[in-house]
Amino acid sequence: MTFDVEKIKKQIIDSPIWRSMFRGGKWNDTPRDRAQHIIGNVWLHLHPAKLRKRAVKFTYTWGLGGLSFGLFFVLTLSGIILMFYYRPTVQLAYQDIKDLEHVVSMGGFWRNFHRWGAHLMVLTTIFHMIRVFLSGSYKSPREFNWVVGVVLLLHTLLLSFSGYLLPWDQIAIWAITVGSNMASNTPVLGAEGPFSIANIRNDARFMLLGGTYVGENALLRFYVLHCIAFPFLAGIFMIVHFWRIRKDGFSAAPLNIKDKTEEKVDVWPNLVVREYLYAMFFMAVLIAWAIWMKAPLEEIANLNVTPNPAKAPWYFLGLQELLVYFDPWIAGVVIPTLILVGLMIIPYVDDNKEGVGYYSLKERPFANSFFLFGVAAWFVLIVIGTYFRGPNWAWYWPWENWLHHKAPPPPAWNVPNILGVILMGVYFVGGTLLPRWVTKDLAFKKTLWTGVGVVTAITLVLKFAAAGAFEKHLGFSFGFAQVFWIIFSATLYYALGFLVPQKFARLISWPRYVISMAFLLMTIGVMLKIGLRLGFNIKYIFHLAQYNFNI
Amino acid sequence: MDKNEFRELWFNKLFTLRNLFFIFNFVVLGLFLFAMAQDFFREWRPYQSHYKKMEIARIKGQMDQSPAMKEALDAEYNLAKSRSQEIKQILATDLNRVDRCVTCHVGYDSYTNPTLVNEYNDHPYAAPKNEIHAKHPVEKYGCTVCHEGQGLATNFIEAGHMPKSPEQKAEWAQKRDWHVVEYWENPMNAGPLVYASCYKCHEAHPNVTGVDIIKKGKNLAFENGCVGCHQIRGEGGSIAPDLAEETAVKPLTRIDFGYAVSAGVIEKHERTLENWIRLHFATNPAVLTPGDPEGKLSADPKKPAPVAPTAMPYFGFNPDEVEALTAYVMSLKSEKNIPYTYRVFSPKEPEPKFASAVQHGRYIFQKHGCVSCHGKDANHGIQVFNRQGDRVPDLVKTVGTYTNDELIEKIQKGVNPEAKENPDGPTPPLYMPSFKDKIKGEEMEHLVQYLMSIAEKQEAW
Repeated sequence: MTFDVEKIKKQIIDSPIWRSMFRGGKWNDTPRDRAQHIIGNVWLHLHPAKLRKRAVKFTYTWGLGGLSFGLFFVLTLSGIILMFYYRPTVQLAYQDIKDLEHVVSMGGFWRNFHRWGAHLMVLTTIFHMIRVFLSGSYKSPREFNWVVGVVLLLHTLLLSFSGYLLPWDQIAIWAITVGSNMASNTPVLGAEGPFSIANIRNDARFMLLGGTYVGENALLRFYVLHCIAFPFLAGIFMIVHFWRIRKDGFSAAPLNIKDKTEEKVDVWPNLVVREYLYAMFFMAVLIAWAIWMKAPLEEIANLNVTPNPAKAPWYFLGLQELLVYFDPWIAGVVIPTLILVGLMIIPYVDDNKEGVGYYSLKERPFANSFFLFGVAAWFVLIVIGTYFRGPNWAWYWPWENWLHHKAPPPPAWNVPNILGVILMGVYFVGGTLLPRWVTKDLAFKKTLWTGVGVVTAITLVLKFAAAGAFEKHLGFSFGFAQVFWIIFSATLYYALGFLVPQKFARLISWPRYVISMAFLLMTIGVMLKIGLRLGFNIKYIFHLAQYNFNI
Repeated sequence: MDKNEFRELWFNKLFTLRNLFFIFNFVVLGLFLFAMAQDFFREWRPYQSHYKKMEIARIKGQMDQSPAMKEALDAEYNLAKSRSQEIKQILATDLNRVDRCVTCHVGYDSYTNPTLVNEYNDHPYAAPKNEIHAKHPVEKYGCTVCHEGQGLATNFIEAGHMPKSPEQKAEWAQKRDWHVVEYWENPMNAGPLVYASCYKCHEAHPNVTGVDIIKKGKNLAFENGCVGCHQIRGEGGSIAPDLAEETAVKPLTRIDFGYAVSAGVIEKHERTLENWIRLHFATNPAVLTPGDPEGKLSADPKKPAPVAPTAMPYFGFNPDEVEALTAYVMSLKSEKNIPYTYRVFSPKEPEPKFASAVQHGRYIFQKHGCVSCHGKDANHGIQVFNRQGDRVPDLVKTVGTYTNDELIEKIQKGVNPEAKENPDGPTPPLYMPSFKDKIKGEEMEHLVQYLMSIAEKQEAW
């Protein structure tokens, strides 16, 4: 007896049951079939039937958007599995995690998988955003989808952050304590924020935690947020995000907009199989990671014992590092808000028509250098917060033992308010106007190196000739650390805050110019404040202690 | 092979999309199966299968020996044969514990081992048959309430096993890659330290073999006057931490091992509360808490705020005494959630009777811990950092200069703070506390009589 596979296949496909389940008839591998396969399938029809050939290329998308969704998907699955065993109460949560680890079949594996998958998803989402920026994909008509993307990035962080509390161990409650204390520094609405109108029983943190400390209510709230609210919202925004990709057209725009003849390929199988391969590759990586490394679990949560240092989850460590240089209301509330707002308005401010659908540094020098600088600063601060900060948030090199004690930082001083106001006024107003005033066509490299040379020369002269005078009259020593910070700050401002906008952004319309410069100067300003603190022990440039309003 | 050939071979022959599809699917499947295998073959399985084999062999042997017993042993034999591999646990609900120790240590309770007869020393360790085990059946008490360790864990290291000797430690390190359990506050009490747990319920240490180490520690603590500075549940001096309420329950996170590790008296990975307590007796405590006598760690280097090293002197105990004292301090740990029905209270021990007032005075001198600073016979004061004169006065030399009333006043008032030797140095860490509320009436009279009796006679000028 012989089996005719093709015949059996045909019989199955033509059977009324199969036909009732799947639209379309026998597979003939014609372009029509392939298109029908995409259009007739509810899961796949978010894809177009055909796609430009360049868009299929791995090095264009790096598969990052799809991977972010794929990770969301497997995180949901593994999360559902974990939910069967986890009970969100103070008495049981920690023991349930221990049981997952020690008793439940595959419990440890799924927990590791979920934990590492969450970290990976934060990374892929951030890199997806970087990719979209660098390929100019947010430009018209996709402005709003970029905004939705920023909302999704925020949801990814919130999902990860809310999940952080659930194991109910020491890192969990203290990371959430650090994070939620930021909320109490919200201007006006936080009990400890500037111009506060709230007390600790009705402020923003109380709403977040359902109490004045991280306790039972907070655990339940974070559980509901993590398992229901945030996935629900993220799902809604994801639907919008995918729908808009489909409707706005995929961003790998033709180089020549008028050329309608660019070759297109069928999405089935060319794109679908690639997407599947990226997903499987990352699944393999993630499973191997979950086998190889256990998810951390420290002692059971104890509000009476504060670990030193108490660190936030890694993606917020950049902001925690900024707490050294700014009051919590700036580092924890204003800066993250400005980052989100700044990201969202990018497509509306950037009206450069060039560089859509391909990577280009030369056609978008201002946008790219500003964005990449911001991304680099974000990650550098995270690396410092993660690897270079030890007990009492003192600076420890990675090879130094945290058990050794370090002297606390030297006492800091405040710039007199009047001087601070003048300095900030000159910086922001002058800094905004200066690149527009200088109308001369500057030779970029020559001007840059001349400027750096002059700054270095002046600083070194001051160091060797007038260090004693500084020490005597201003009370700080003028060492090589100070030389470094002066050169770093001046060069940074000169190159990024003056030369780049002067050269490349001077001629955009006034409103766009002012908004861009405001965000640019604030970003550079964060770095300048770091320089002032580390080099010269300046705590505040402006302080109104009675209102908690210190900058 | 030129570039085109390579591309042809690489992309169009080997790693075509179709091949990659299969490769990745099988890699993911393989890894997942590996994860399942890793999850299935856990550390405890061989112990259970080994135990099962031995148990079957034992019953079989008995059956072969006496055919008459064959029928009687049949049920037992079938039970042993049908034993499945599973995680076994004791729920000691009263004591708030879930102990899975019996997952590996099979055959301890009547559930995992209905007959309770086994002599198997190596799967992996047999509990000695003694009075204590007999009176505290594991089915009710579990294991960790006495032995400590992480009852929830099902593998060797996470369970918090602690070696009882350096030889065992070396053996474990070699065979099992052993290290101190991380992120679990209470690793096991190894060796005689287990008797430290008795005190959780039995306030008076029960009269069982082994517990004498705690009693020895208690005596040593009394003789050396620990209560002069330390309180024990609120009774004693207030210069140093309460040994019961603070030291014995100190979270590891709060212990600053930095100096001890720098000085090389302990390895970084051996930080445990037990070792922290032990180091206070085994080494000079000033090595553990040297303070910051020169003010190097001060916030403002221009205005240094020096901190004196710990006031605790080095007593020079021998290793046995060190162990006894460590066990005693560990025994002071109390567990709040042990129900009252489990506790055995004891009336306060009566004060011993003394023939003379001077003898009673000497007892008072010990009881209130004066000996810790002034010396056992009031003749050798300990060193105090930056105290004027560098040492606690030798009472035999100084009391003679006081009248009785002056001496009483001095004891009642104390001297706080003591004068500094170097005015820029730190405040001396030790001071004469006020005993106004502690030594009263007859006790005070007899104490003064004792001190006066030992005072060196002042030579007449």
